[in-house]
Amino acid sequence: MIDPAYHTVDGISPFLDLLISARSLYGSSGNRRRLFNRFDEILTAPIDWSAMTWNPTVTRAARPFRFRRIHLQNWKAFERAELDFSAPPERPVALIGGNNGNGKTSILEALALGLYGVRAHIDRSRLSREEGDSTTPKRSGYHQAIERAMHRQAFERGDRDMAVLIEIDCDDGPFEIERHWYFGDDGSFIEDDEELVLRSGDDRHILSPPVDVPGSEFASFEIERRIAPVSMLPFLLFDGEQIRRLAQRELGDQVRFGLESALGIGVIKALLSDLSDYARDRSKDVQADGVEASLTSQIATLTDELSSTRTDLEEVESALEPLRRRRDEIVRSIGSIGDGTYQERHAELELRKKLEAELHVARHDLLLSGVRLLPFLLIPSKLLQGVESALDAAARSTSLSRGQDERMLRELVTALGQTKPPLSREALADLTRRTQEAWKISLGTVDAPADATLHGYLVGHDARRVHELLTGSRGSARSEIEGMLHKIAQLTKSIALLEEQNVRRKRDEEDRAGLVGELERLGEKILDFEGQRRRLDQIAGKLQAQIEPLEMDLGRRKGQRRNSGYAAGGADAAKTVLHALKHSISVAMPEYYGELATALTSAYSGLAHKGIVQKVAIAHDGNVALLDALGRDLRDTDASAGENQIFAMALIASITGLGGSSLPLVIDTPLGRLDTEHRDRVLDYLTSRRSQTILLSQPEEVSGRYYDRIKSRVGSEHHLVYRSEGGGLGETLVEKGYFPRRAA
Amino acid sequence: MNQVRPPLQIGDIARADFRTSFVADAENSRIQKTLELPYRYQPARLALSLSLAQPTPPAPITDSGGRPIRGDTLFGQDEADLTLWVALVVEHSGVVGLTRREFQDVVAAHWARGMAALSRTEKSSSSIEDAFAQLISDAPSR
Repeated sequence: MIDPAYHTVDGISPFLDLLISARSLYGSSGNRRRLFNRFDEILTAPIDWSAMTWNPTVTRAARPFRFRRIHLQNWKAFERAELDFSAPPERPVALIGGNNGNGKTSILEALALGLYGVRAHIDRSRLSREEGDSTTPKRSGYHQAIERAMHRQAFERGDRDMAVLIEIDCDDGPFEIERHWYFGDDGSFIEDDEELVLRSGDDRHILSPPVDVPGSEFASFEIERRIAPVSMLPFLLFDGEQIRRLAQRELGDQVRFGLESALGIGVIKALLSDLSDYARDRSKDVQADGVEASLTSQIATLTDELSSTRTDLEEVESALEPLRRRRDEIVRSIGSIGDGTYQERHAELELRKKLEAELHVARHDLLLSGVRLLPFLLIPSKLLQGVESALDAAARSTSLSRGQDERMLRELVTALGQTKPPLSREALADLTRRTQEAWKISLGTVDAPADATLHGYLVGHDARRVHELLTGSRGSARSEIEGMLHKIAQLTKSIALLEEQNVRRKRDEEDRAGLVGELERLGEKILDFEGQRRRLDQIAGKLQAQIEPLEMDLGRRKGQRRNSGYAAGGADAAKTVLHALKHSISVAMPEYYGELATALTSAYSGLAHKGIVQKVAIAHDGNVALLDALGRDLRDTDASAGENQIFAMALIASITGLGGSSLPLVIDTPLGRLDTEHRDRVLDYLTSRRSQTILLSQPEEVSGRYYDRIKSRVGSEHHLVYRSEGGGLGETLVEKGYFPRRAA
Repeated sequence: MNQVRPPLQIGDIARADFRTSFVADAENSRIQKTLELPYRYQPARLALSLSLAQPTPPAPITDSGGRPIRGDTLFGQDEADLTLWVALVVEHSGVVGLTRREFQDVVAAHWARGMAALSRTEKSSSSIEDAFAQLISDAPSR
């Protein structure tokens, strides 16, 4: 059964928990490779790391608890011991007396290591480390401490087991932490040979980790959840030395340290430190001595250049294209323009000349013919017909002369008178008359006296020829003239065609000249652009040639990096988380300053004997001011060492009471360095707390009137008795009751 | 008044001089030149034809300032040609017993009237063939 609390870590991002748990699993070993690999796995998750926040109000805040009983087995001077702190709530003070060397500090250490194991060892040195001691506590140091803690005599007797059992009363019932350390025969503490058993509830049910959760991690989580973060250890279990150390620090530092401890920021800070190292480490990996970054940047630069070159190329191409098209057009149209060779043009010219000559002749002929024939076309037919018939008549009448007619008629009439037998006079006269009439009719002279008069000039002329001329000309005039007109039209047309051709050629020649000029200009432009294109092509090719090996190299490197498991994004994610968490802390811390200042004012005024500090103020940056009634900071005037210790004590008390809860205090030799008045006040203060206070003191420290002062609050009393066993090494026994001497 | 009307004789006409008005003669020369015609009689014959195409008798001319041209030149060396022209002029006039003198006057009038018509046509034509085509198309079909 999975404890739900384990997963819903009070609202903290589960990824933050993953990181923290990775730290607690792997962080304490010297080699951080495993931790960083785990970080790789976590930080490559595709989430928005910048959203990561750390919220201290829901952190593993301490919850009130009391130590009920402590069992020690082979722990240092104690072969077997039991300290029982059970007492009624109104008696929260436990007194443990013991002389120096009798094992008071051993009990403190048993609590610390029993509760937190190796993490206590690591964290306990935090206070001194932050003072400037840079040595990081190691597991090996823990091993040595554990080995030294084994009770010598028991080991020599054959025991190989050392144990601390801490019984605690928590809010939700009893809780037991039992830790065993096992040793080899040579006395060495074997790695991981540490057994931790957690029990809870009245039936002491053993808590077992959920599947897939490492036991140690689970245990740490459970302990911190039920008791307090390990970072609170300096405020739970401390001695005069620790107070002194704390007191040496500037008050602001004390406050920050205390608050960070209380809020568990220490864990976060350690995580931040690891993440910072991790980011640096992985950046180193990613950058791979800068080669990869350099490759990337080189490729980017070259690619930019290449793309700009290609853009230029495209521009040149698009400028070139229409120029070429135009060039082809011109070449085609020049080809299509009649080539008009000299011979052709010469022949054409000759032809034209010939045609023009022909036309001239034709026109002349037309004129001549026209002059000759036009009358027959122009003069109306009626007139022509009149002339024609007159000529016809004249032609016939003029075939014989008038004299001949009359002579022939006379001879005819004479011949009629000589007929045999002779005709009668009447018959002859009638025949003669009839012959003469017929003669006249046959010659046509009887009914044409007018025409004969009108065209009388024709007499004696060859009218037949004129008649033939007229009729011949009339018949052929139109066709002859029209034929000539047609011929002229043909010639004119041919000449016009030649002229047209000539004009076209001239135009073409002009066009051609224009085109040739344009072609030349185009050619120059094209040449220029082609030059540009060649140059750009070369540049692009060169760039491409530069980019390719770089990309191959980069790809190879990336492939190698992938294979080697480096997470490129890890470093970035880690940096993001760092930034986000630092921001969270810087925001969260001041929220607690007010509460802490109030608690400090109360604690300090209870502890300090000078009543002049009216108020402890914590500024936004964590700096502390001790203000008097007038609001002046007393720190400007005086702060004695004693007062510093008082402040440290007050801080411890305030820190353990933060958040309304009140944690037990286990104090070793609490009053050692204090003057009498302070002892009273400190004792009064400590014993007046509602929560458990375990005082480990020397006989003279809490005795006499001091003892009397607190007696009513004391719930349990023990004292440590050292018993020597001959050879020098002895053991400490725990006996009930405070100092018998005093009791006696 | 002389009662004797000597009849028209072809021979007389061939030998006679013909002249038209000064204006018509000048126009005759111009057209001869324009149309590049070698002889004066050529425009004159065209003019006569154009005038003969009109049925009405031409108005007599008031002056005879034109240069003379012999009948056989005006109408043709060939007697048939000459006779035909005479026949045409006489037939158009319809006057019986036309004397040589009268014939000369009628020809002068026809020459002048025809020359005016020819001048108009010539001026409105771009070429000789155009003018001819125009003349032919203007001429009565029968």
